[in-house]
Amino acid sequence: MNRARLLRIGLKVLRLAAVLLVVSSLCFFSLSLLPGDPARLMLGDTATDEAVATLRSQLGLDLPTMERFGHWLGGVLQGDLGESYRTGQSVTQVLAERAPVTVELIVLSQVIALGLAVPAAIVAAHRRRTGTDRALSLWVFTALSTPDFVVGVVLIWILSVHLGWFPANGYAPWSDGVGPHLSSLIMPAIALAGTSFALYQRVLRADLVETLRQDYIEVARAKGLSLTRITFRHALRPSLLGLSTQIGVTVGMLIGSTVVVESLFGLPGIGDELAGAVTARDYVEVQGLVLVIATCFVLVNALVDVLYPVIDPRLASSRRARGGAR
Amino acid sequence: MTATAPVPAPVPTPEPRPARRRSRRGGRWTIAERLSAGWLVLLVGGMLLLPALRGIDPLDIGAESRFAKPGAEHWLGADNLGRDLLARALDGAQVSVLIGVGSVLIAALIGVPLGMLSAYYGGPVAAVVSFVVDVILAFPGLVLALGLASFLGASVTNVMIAITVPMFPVFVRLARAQTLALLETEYLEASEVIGTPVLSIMRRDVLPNIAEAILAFGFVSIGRAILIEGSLSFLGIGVPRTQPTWGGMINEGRIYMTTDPLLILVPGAFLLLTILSLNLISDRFLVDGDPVTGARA
Repeated sequence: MNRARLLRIGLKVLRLAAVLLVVSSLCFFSLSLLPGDPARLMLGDTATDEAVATLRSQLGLDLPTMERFGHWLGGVLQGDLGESYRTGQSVTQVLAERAPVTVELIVLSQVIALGLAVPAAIVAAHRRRTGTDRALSLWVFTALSTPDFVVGVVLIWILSVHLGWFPANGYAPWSDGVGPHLSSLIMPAIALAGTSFALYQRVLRADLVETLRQDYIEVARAKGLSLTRITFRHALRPSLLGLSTQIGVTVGMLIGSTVVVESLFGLPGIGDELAGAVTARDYVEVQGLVLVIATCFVLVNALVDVLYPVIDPRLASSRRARGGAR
Repeated sequence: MTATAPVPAPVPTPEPRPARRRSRRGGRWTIAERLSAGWLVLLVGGMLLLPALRGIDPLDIGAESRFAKPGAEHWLGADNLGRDLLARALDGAQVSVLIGVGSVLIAALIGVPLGMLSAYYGGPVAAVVSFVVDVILAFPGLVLALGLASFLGASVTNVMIAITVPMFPVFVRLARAQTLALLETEYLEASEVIGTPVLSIMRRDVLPNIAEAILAFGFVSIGRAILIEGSLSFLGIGVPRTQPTWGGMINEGRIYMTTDPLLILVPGAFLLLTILSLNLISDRFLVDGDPVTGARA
């Protein structure tokens, strides 16, 4: 590894740290931007002045802002994100309990999305500009345009209400057995998978079309290799760069979508907790959860950045990092 | 419906930049695109006209029309309180269209000049702008919108702000990338050499050339904004609950889906058709692919 490369990585890490610092300050100072007294807003108009004063001192709102910020940042660095005012649970504890559900939901949805998108993209790329390609593209557009909660509600309507295959609501932990557990997650995962499927199919199809035009594919065809072999041995890997970038971006977006899907299906994940905290105006918890979500998002994207050369070795040698000015 | 679809005169389009995919602006409109345009025209027309014409109040409740089936009285049926579903959907359309178009307009008005200037000046200006963009894009769009909506309080304006904030950085990136590509052209260099003021270069030389890409992305963004608004309303956050919204209607209709699926299907169809139409039409104009997702069609 040469010095220039090390320097570049160092600068990236610094920038990442700076972004995270600003992100956490924003999360903190958002409380000061509230119109009015946060404690009053949390308790509502009916609360007595005494109760408000108690909550103020509980939240440390009577201390100077910068002192509170120092306190808060110190806490965050040690993994202390404050306490939920509704439940008295620490935000860290909430995360530890609920993150596994969300992570599993996202992983499952990605398995579904990729399982559909990769074959659909391969077929569409090989049959470019035929009826098959167009039909797939219409499906993709529809998936891209349907909000998750609409998919979810329709799934509940068909699969739960009419066919009774899956429970409409609620979560069964692993301890209830693999079957009930998976069937409590399958509909939310499908609802969540729609957008990702559409994005993945489009990106991979476009890259595959590009790859299939290359001379070496022509050579492979001329050698009489089978279509399957050409696709999987020669064409697929060089076409994965766009897809992997897309996965990084999408997984971040999905953390947002879980808010809606988890509340719809009553899954005890982070998204559901965030929706509850927002509705109950539990600002401390909102702060903590948003900070964690944003941090995960930034780190996932950074990870994809680091993985580029692994996915596509051509990038390790060339200086051209990513397409143009992006 | 297809007959009313606006068919633009075929204009030969010069291609000033190397594009991965050529815009189909001049080409024939496909059936799907005509249907999309038709739906949008119908929606906006209905939204503006129907409440006035039929004199039906979307908030008007009536015991005798509870769960009414579609018919002459209620074209698309009525909900659990006897409120007309079509009138409610069209009233919800007003909110969605207002928020969708409004937030995208504001996002573009902030983002495009910032992007152009950061491309033109480079250096510290670009560094600051790109840092701000990075920070805002560090939040998943829906999470940021959700947080902002909760902090700002329930109102249509606040939802618009909550959606604009996560959206404008993408316009910055798009305008910046497009401007950077233009800056290498000779006519811009020439314009610079003869001493044209910066603002004039931006307005007369750069903006017209990047307008198409921005417009196309604007259409996709309206769809996205409507999607975020729908999600927020579904969660009951943002738009005040007394105002009918598509997301809110779906949320309220969930309880009755066993007996009266129309309560969720009507607003669901409005949401889906509107976003699908916007996506299909903008795909016609998208040149370099989607700057948010990087997706290339």
